[in-house]
Amino acid sequence: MPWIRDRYRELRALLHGERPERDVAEEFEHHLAMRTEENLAAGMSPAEARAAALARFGDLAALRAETRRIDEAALRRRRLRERVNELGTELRRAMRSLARTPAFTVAAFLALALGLGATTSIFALLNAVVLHPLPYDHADELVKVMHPVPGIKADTKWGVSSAGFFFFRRGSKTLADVGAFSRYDPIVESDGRAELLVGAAVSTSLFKTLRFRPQIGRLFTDADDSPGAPSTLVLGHGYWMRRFGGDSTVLGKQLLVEGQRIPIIGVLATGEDLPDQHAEVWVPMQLNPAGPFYNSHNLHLIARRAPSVSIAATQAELAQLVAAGLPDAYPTVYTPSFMKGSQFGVEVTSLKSDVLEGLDRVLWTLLGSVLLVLVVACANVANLFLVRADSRQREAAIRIALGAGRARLLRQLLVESLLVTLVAGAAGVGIAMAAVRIVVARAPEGLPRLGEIALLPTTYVVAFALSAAAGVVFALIQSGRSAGALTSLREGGRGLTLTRRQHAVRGALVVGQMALAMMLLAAAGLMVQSFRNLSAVSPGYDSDSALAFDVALPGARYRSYETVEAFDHLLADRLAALPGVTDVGAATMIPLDDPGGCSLVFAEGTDYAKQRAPCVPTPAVAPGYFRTLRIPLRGTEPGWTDVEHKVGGVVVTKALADRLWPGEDPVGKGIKSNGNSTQPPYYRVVAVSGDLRDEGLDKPPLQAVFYPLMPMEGTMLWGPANGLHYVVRYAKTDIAQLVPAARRTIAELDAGVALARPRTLGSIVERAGVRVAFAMLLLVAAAAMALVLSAVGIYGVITYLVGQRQVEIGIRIALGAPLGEVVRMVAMQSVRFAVLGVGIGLVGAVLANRLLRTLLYEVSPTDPFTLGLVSLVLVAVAAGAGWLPARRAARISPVEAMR
Amino acid sequence: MPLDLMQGTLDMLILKALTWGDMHGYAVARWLERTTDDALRIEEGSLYPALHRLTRRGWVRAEWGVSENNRRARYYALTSEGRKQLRRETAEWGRFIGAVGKILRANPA
Repeated sequence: MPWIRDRYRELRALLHGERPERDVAEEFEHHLAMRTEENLAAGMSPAEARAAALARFGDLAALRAETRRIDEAALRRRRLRERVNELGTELRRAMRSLARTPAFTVAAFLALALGLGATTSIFALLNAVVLHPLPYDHADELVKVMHPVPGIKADTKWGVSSAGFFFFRRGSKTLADVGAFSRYDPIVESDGRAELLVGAAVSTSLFKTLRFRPQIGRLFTDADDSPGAPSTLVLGHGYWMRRFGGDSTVLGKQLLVEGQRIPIIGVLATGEDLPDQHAEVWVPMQLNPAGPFYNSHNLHLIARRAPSVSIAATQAELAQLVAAGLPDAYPTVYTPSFMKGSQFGVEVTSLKSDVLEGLDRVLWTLLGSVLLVLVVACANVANLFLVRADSRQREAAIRIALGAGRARLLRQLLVESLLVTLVAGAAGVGIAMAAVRIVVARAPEGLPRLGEIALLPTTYVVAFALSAAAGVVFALIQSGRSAGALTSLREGGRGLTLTRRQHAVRGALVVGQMALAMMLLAAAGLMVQSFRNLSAVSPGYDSDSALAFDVALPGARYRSYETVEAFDHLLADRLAALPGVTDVGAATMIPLDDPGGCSLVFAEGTDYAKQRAPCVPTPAVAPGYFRTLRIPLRGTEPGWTDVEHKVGGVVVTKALADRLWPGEDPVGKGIKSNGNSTQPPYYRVVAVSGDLRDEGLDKPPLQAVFYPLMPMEGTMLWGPANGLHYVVRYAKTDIAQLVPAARRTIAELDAGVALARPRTLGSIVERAGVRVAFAMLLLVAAAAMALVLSAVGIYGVITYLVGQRQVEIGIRIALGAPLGEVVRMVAMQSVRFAVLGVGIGLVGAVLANRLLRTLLYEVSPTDPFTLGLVSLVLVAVAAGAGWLPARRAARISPVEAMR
Repeated sequence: MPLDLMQGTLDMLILKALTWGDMHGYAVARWLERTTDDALRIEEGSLYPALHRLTRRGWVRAEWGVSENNRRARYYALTSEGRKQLRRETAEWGRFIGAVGKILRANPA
């Protein structure tokens, strides 16, 4: 029977592949048997012969194991090589197959890459800017408290007064900690050079509210913060690194701040900062709980809600406190007439939304729409794959008929669809990386954590998993379709027709996608319109070839109006003498640069017992300002002699003049801000300026009074203007040389005076539009993507429909239908889808664009021009996408189609 | 007194044995025994890991066949790669022997 046994073994080996374990055992046994036989022949007894053979062989078990390991390793390697070879073959086959249908491949690739790229980048943005925007412990508990004053000015919110700060700290039960700060930008001198730093004056409680910990040293205690206590200083981490190189021996050293030596007691840890700006030095505010208190709302109030208290509850409590308790607690500050006239209220917002200023809503909306787009993109690509599966039914049927297994077919489909989705996924991540870089470069200043925007490792993993999952799903869908292939072959290769319902689903998909694209395009179109309108708004001054910088005079040495004026006069003259400089001016305000607070102004002859005085900015201005900024004036700008003779001439803006003296000539009118509101002396209006924009290009023109540097005899202003913004207009000079020249000029006059924040007027105006520009950038990108995706979608569906109607079209051509007619018929189908989608999208756009209203400028959310244009674009794109399959339809050979 | 084999040498000897034709493991063992007059008393079992390793490297091809006494046995044959390897190793071995010989023949200066 050995022959049969051998054949059986061969058969088994053939069927099951190799079996290293048994093979080794058999081989060893053969060896032992041969040796035993030899020993027997040499005259040993059978037992002896076997024992000797074993002894000569060695450690049977160990050798067997070793040999088997070698065989198994070899087997594994061979199998792996086979797999790799197979995969290589399979990949080449898949690539050939994809290359045969380039339109399909490009469309599917584009749709997936764009969809993934957009979702990934928007998510990265949202994750950095909205989900974790504030670098504070439990930042969601932090709120900002402000006072709306609709009776004085709509949409204006004041900060909190020091009275209010103590009042809320004492009275609120929903707030666990209440902290306050105000901007305090001191001049710091070191190494004979003065520098104007960005700083904050804070209450001790602010550090507790924000949960700051010092990097080294200590933070302020109540002792530091009490009135009259010796001054102390805490450094911001960035300034410490920049100025002292992170040297920990700075503790206890003194810094010359505003002419006063102040010891450094601590340094904040990295990332500990004000919500929307970098503070380099921090000083205690030293507010006196005993007063005196004024109606001055210059504190930023940041508070931490008690755990499990909602913002609504806090809002309700503070509103109650302000209405019922504040006037009683501080009757001189919050008089009944003030409370009534200003409609003094209180508003609690989360610190996060205060910082984001509505951008979070745009981003969420965008993520929502982009996610929707991604889903639609996947549906589209699935549809494309189905179209492809249908067109290859004959191929599949023949393969199955020829004996290709279902598993093998599925594997081929998998390789094909994974090839598309994984490559598209990689491209999508590439797109996202590029997009994030662009966004970071274009984003507005003051957006928190923008530097930290990055694609997290999890993003890559998720993108990969999504692409792989999509690939598997697409393959399964196709495989399901091929299952019916054999039937189709039996039926004579006419292909499967879809049920009415399946048709409806596909149609709905395309129409829905067109509607979505319509909405995004409409939003983007409106933003572009807004941005154009905004760019066309003049700030009211000429921002070309003009440089601005800040000059701050130390309060310790420049105490009087006279000393300040004398310095500014001298400096203005010296700056004007610099080569290339044509004009020099200065004021405590540059419109659009840094919108600030307001003071009451009283016009002569108006009874302010009956009506409220307007609260407007009242900057101090040095001569030459209006000429330098090229602000048109009616009347004459006061000169240095007017200032020095304390003539008391003021310039008002046109918007304020129209409000105070409608229909009258304002020049010569009396106006004042301090002292008795109905008694002279009054300042005299000597000129009216053209419209200026201050709070934003999209806001109404500025109402303001420009007071002189020195008060008129017998009147008060707000103290000497120690911090002026200088504006220098230049011609034919290198701006890079102008700044050092100006710095030298200032140092020659006084080494303790600093030049800070040099900037062009152009950059100030540009920044005013940057938020709108940023939102526009995001929306335009999303809309462009939606446009491409809808083109892909239409293309896929029309291609499919052409395939379905192949026989019909063939008959038409055979019966003599003109080819142009066939093309038109197919293309019109795509236009019909588009028109339906655009119609639905228009309704959606009108409903959804209310979300954009705060970002729109002089564009109605239903702007017919924008919406009309966008609709046309979409229909045109749809017609174009239908054109390719339409042309293919015209090339259908009737003979081929009807066979 | 049997000599111990250096590592790698066994591989070379097996390749050499197979130049005489296809053999199963036992035949290789017998050939080594006969050719060296049993001077190299190798542990016969250790031939097999070596044979399988040579197979894996592609220097030797293995195939099941029927042995002279009608038993199923695994036959090994030298591949052309194996032949090249044997030539390389033989040359290497010659150089080694030569070098060692020179040292041993050198006289104290």
